[in-house]
Amino acid sequence: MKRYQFNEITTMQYIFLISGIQIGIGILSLPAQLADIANTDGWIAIVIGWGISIIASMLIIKTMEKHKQDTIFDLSRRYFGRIFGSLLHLAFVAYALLASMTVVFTAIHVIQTWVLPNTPNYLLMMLFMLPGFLIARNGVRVLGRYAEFVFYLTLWMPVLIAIPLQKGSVLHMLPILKEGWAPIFQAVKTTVLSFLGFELAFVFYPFLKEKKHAIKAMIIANSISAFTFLLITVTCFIFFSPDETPSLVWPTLSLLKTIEFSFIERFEVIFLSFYLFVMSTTGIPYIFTTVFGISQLFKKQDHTIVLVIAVCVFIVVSFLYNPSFSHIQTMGSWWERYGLWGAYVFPTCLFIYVSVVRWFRGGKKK
Amino acid sequence: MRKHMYIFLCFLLTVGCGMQSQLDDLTLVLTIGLDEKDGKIIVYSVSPVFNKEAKNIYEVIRTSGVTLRDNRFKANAFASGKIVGGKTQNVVVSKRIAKNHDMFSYLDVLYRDPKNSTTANFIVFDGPLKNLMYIRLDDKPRLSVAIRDVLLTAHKGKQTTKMDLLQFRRLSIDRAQTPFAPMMKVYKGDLVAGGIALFNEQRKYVGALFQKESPYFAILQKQIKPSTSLTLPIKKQNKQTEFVSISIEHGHFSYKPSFQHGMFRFDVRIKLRAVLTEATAYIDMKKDKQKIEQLLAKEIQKQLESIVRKMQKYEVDPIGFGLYARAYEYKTFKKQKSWAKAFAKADINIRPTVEIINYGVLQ
Repeated sequence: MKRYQFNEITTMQYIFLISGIQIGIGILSLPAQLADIANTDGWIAIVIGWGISIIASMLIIKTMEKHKQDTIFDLSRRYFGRIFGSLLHLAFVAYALLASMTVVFTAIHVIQTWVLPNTPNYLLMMLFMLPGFLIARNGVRVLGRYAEFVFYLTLWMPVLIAIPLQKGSVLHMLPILKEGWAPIFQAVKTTVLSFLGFELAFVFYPFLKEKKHAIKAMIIANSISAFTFLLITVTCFIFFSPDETPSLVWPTLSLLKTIEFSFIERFEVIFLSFYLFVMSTTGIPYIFTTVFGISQLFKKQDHTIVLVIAVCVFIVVSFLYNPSFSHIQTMGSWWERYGLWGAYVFPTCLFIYVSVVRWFRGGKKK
Repeated sequence: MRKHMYIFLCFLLTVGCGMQSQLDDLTLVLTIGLDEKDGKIIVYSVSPVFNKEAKNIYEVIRTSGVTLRDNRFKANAFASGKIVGGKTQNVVVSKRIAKNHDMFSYLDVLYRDPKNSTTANFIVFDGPLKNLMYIRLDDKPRLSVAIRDVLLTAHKGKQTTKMDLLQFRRLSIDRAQTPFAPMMKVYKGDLVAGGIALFNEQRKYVGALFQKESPYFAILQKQIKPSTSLTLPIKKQNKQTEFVSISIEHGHFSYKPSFQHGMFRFDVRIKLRAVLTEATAYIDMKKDKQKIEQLLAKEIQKQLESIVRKMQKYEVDPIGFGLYARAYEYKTFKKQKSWAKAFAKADINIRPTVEIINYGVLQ
């Protein structure tokens, strides 16, 4: 029996959904973080991080394959009993909530700094939440369609980022392996976290129509993200000197600031406005996961009521609390710390646990 | 219910309108000038005036204070509208302030505030800035536009160079290079751009390349396009100096760094392909082509070596030899405390060759 028959998504939508979640706010500051740790060798860390994230997402799929109709919320109850299962359930919801808070507040902060310095953050929050509400209300199928749509809509952006490449110097990249492997492995910790997002396969896998393509889809999604990260990081390294990149907060945007046509200036404003779409494909799935998780906890089929409450809470919070940049950074580091456990350690443990339990139970059945 | 929601939505979309600003109420600063007098920073802001009744088409506001932002607050008291810095085209600093201060401390606000433009031209002005700011240019457009036009034309003709704020920052922060900037002066009531100001690692002005050295600087920078014109003296058999003009169309460059006997060594090979555009004496191109080519190469080599020596004397590396040193000799490069000092000691070996690809429609 298929539980989510009316909400199934195609393989393409699934790919774009996952890579859409992965490409989000991290990309704006990734080059600076990498350059800080590993100088211009940071790109090698992206390649390594790509490999690790593929392994982790394959573990997730292998775990989920055993119960094709279960999301992580059903799975946790099935394997960990009522109390521990609910705790795990809550932990995952809390994780998604933290992620969505971080994404939304960072997006607001970036927009306020670069585009709309005089607009109060609650108005921006309302503007963000309206489309977010309309998309998240309709479930996974609409999320998938939206992700695919946004992907096509933003295809021109990587081309634009490549424009400054011709002004840079490839000499900045040499020599490869400036300081040996040690700083690169340190930087892997950062890159691994920029791939965060594939862990939502825990939630979206049951909605995938053709489950035999799941692993392929995960690899493609991770590769799309890896390619984007690589493109932006390498462009930043080539354009800015290796000593300058760490001194910028948002090197990607500073890079775009230099693009100037005779008829338009401050191109980063236009870029950022479009980038809101990209950020929304990160934020909305996390909000959906939060809301979906909560409604599952209360055994509600329809998650609209929870969503309305969540959106209201978000708006009210933005009225009362306007985070400073350092708060946003703290939030981001929490997400990353939590994400390291949630997306890498937890799937591995779960995979081992589930395999062992099934092996035992399988023995009993016969 | 739905209808009400749509109306509410429309209101939300107009959030930005509360803060609207009319173009003629703004004072758009197109040129910022920085000078120093008695330990105080003097800031000139040049902005266009959009009022039909005003006699001048631009206004110059002069304020003195501690920093750029501080001056902007003060300038607001003078300006006829709210001062906006996002459209800045030129940032001009006087030679005096560039000599005495780390330029970075004053330019910080232009980088920190994302509303400011970082593609503005950075220019060093030879002389007190008031000469530039209160110049009467009757045959030229508004001052800010004139500055930019003169600079860009001079840059195309390789009489000077071009530097935007962002690039200035990049060169300053990079350990392997030092920044440079175009120079401008007022000569007999006219605006002239020519020569290149050199900054040391502390971002202080240390010296300049002359206008006639600028094309060679462009060659070392590999920036030949669209074409670089040179007029070179050539000694003929009868000891008379004749002149040959060439226009360099293509160039092939190789910079090879090595580290020997405790100092860096650069082998620079430059292959130039040029068109002969003028010769004051008769040259038999069929017979003497190779000889002429060698003579030209020798003359170019002399010039290139002289500007490199000049840069070594000032301990600056605007060309970016350090980039090659870092890329190919990283271990020794890393050990250098100051690249500029190491560069000053480096042995630089320049060997240009010239090939005349065309000599016009005369034999």
